[in-house]
Amino acid sequence: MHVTIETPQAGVTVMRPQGTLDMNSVPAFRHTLEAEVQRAGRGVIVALSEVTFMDSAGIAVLIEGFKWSRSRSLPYILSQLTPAVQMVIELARLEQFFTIVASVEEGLARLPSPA
Amino acid sequence: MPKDGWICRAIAGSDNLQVTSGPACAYNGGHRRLSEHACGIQRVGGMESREDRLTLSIPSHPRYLSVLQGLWDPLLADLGFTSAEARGITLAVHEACANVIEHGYQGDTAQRIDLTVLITPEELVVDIRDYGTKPDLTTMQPRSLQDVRPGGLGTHFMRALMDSVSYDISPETGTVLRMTKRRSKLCTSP
Repeated sequence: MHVTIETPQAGVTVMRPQGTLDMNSVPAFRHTLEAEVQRAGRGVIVALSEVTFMDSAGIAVLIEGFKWSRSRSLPYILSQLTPAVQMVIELARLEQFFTIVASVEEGLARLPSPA
Repeated sequence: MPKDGWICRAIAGSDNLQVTSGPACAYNGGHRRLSEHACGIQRVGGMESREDRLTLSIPSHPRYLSVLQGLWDPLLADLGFTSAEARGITLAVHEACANVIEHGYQGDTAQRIDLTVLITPEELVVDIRDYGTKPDLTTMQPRSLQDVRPGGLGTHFMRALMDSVSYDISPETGTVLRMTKRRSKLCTSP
């Protein structure tokens, strides 16, 4: 799986995984996600618009990202859920657990202002 | 009105009696109108119910799970499943195979997973056969979703997305996991 990483604002990381987020691709994505959560200063947005398929391993790594972020008191937002991602989040009943937005811009607007 | 070659499933069951054209069908000496038949009629090929069977074998490496995604989408659409149903079936089969890799084979990527897909006018039946460690059915339950933590959701997804999920541990080695999904529309062919 390919992941693009953008920094639209200082301290904010937007990760955009592409393709399938599943048992096969999750180990590498986990490594990248953990590193970016540790590096970000204001927040992390995981933009899922290009994820075509996600399984329980994929939702597990998104949960891990949330917990890493929470340990740093860092905002962690999921954006642009595809139908495949939406289905898994609903099956796991995590719609209220994650902060979910329709666009990266909306996610950026939810982050605290720079100090 | 019945056509030649059509049978009444509600009455014939496995008898595969052939209906002659006209408002009634011949069955054990009694004539019944088609309007009395509860299940409608089903076209059959010849004198036997038609089923199609598809078999596939993949290595037990996670990279080959993507093969299943490519297999299912066009086939399920052609069988009349909605996009949402197709996504669900694809995910359920994927999760079942992922469980085989992780639990049945403990991550051994040198094994194989055999899939048999039976397509009938009523339902889709998927058998997933492995030759590894049998599951402990007494302890294998979906965990509570209130306990938000990574892992342990595959079984829950399978049961939520398919109409039935069952495990046959009777083979000498391994397990056969069977999942079924009813087809929502009465279909005239597999």
